Amino acid sequence: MALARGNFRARAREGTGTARREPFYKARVLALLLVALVLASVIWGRLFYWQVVEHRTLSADAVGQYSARIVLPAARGQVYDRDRLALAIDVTVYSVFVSPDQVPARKREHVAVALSQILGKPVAEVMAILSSRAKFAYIARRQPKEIADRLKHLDLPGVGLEADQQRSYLPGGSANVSLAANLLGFVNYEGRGQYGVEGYYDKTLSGEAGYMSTYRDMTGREIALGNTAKRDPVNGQDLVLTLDSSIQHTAEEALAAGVQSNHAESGTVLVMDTHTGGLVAWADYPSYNANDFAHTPVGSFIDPAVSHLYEPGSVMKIVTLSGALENHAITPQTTIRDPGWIRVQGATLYDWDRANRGTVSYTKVLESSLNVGAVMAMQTEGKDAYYRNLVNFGFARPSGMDVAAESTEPLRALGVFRESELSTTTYGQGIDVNPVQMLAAVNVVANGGRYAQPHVVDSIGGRPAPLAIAPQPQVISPETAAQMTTMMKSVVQHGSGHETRIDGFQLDEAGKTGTSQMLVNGQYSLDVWSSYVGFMPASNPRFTMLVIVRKPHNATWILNDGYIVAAPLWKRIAQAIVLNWHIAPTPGIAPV
Amino acid sequence: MVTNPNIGLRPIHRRGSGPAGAVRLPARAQLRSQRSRRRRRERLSLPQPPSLDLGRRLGLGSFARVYILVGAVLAVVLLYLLQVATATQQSYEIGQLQRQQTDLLAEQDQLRYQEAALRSPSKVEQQAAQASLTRPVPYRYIDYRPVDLNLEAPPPAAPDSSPLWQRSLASLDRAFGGMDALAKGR
Repeated sequence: MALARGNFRARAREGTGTARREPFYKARVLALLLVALVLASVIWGRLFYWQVVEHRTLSADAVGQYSARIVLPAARGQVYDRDRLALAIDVTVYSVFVSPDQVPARKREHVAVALSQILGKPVAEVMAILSSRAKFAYIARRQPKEIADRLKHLDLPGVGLEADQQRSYLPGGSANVSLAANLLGFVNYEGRGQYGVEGYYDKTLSGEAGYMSTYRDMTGREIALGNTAKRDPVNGQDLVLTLDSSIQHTAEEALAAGVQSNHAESGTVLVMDTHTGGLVAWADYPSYNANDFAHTPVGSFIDPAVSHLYEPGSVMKIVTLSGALENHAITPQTTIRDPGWIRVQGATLYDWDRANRGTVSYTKVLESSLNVGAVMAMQTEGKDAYYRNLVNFGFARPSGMDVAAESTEPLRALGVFRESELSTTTYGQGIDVNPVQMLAAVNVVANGGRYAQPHVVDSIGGRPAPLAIAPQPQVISPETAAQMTTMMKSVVQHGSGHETRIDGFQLDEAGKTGTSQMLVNGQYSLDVWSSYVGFMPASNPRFTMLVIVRKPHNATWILNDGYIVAAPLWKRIAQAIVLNWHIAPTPGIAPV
Repeated sequence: MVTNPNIGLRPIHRRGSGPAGAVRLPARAQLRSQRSRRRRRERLSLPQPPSLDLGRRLGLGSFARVYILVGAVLAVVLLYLLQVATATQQSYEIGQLQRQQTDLLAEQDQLRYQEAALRSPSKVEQQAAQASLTRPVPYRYIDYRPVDLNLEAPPPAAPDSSPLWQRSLASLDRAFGGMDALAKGR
């Protein structure tokens, strides 16, 4: 070893040129090291970038490739009528799509012909889609199961089906409408309830969706036995309505016929269970088909029964006179002198025919619908008591009905009313109410003086709905209610309600007509709201019904009156209810 | 002779072989060695895995043991893969059954809607019209007068429409105590 070391030194002494080249070697080594370091740095840098900087993104991508979070939709609750007939049901529908790049060119025509035959689309249209370079295209949306089954059976290349849920509603009482469309509303393609009961109870009906995190294979199929995290969906609750679909159907049919025969613009029928306040029928005409809401003008979705205000006309006299009776300002036998007009604060208010009737009782005032009598009752009672009465009958607040989009006009403060304005409200002009408010107010008389909360949902998920068990405040005494009932019976027997007499119940019906002029640009026009409200059997009422026909256009003005336009509709529907509910005349009251 | 100090000259001997030919150790070192041997013996007396015993008994070499070990591991891996494959297969079957269930549920919904539609008043009306059925006339209530009715009283005798000769014969029969053959057994 010592020898070797000596040799090296010797060589070093001999070759001075080699010693000079030593720094050069070192530089080369250093350069190589540097290059290696740079290359390594590049690699390390990239590794650092992919493994540290992009770690989160890449991990997420990887998880996205092998795992899936599947939303488990909650089943929407169903809506039933009072006899448990399903009114709104979720059905599965299928959207048909194609992947044109997966359809071989030689099979395009075959696929196009098959699709056009099943879906009823022109072959050329389907062919154009198949010939396009698109990766994905819908051919038809929301097709029924039968169509989907036929397509599945054919097993066409590049054709697929996408399942979806759609709410389906029963056919209604007139052509191309669904049953109680305005009351029920509909569910849009995003699964949200819109308008009516579907809108109001959307949260209750829709429930809460669950989810499942699971693994899937390279073709996207779920591996059911892999590790999964799951939260079960909470299904929506079913609603049982107070609606009677038979009565509803009859009401829709009768209303459509009545509106058409009177050349009217629209109409509404509301039937209420007198003792509970539950709505038995809720018909609007014109209406729409909730199964085809996508092709319906938005204006049709609005429900006139709660969203439109109207001047109720003489129907309001029931409220006015009830209040005056309650405050002992009048009795049914109290007489007044009615010359056919009355002057209030400089304004002259007239009876509907301006006839001088001389001395009449308040029963006669109601029978003949005399405006002067109503104004005099209010004057006798006093403005404060009258106003309080309006509030107690529910005109100062929304009805609280459990459907979406109720409209009301707040009752003006008493001090704001001019005396003439307040006087016109006694016979239902100059006051805006919605039909449900008006029906609920008249129902107070039928229900022995108690205000029954109007509602349409009887139970939610098997439990009573809060509105169905709401307390019923006493608005007027039972005695006052009985007196007013007798006066309303007299309207049917001797007054304007004669068109509603039903065989066997002529002496046991209570009602009142209403005809109110419409305000157009600040002036009352000849267009009217024709209405009739009543309940029967008067001795033990089972139902209270309000019929409103908007803008009837018959040959003469008088033919647009409530007793000619609305009363026959009321009678037709009431007859159906009598038959359907097996209502028998009260013994001792049946006519001889 | 060049000697490498790192190479020992201690003779190779098998562990546990006798002291013959062995390097003589000092007395203290010998004592330490005896103690450690005793400890080793004690350790050896612990129960041994049967496979080792078996391997020794079968006379398997070290490679054979490695092969066996690798084989066992492979078998375990294969079993695991088999189990995973079975599970995956079953999960596909479950998926298929779930799809079938979805189809059946869809069909059930469809049937439920059809049933409701068939029961709907409009369908009933339509069917009634097709069958030429009409609505009944609404009830008509008629007046009545209360009358005294004795439900216990015997019904009035119906007029006898039999020929005269039969009636005469019957009265003769009743007079002389004869019996009506038809009445027998009643």
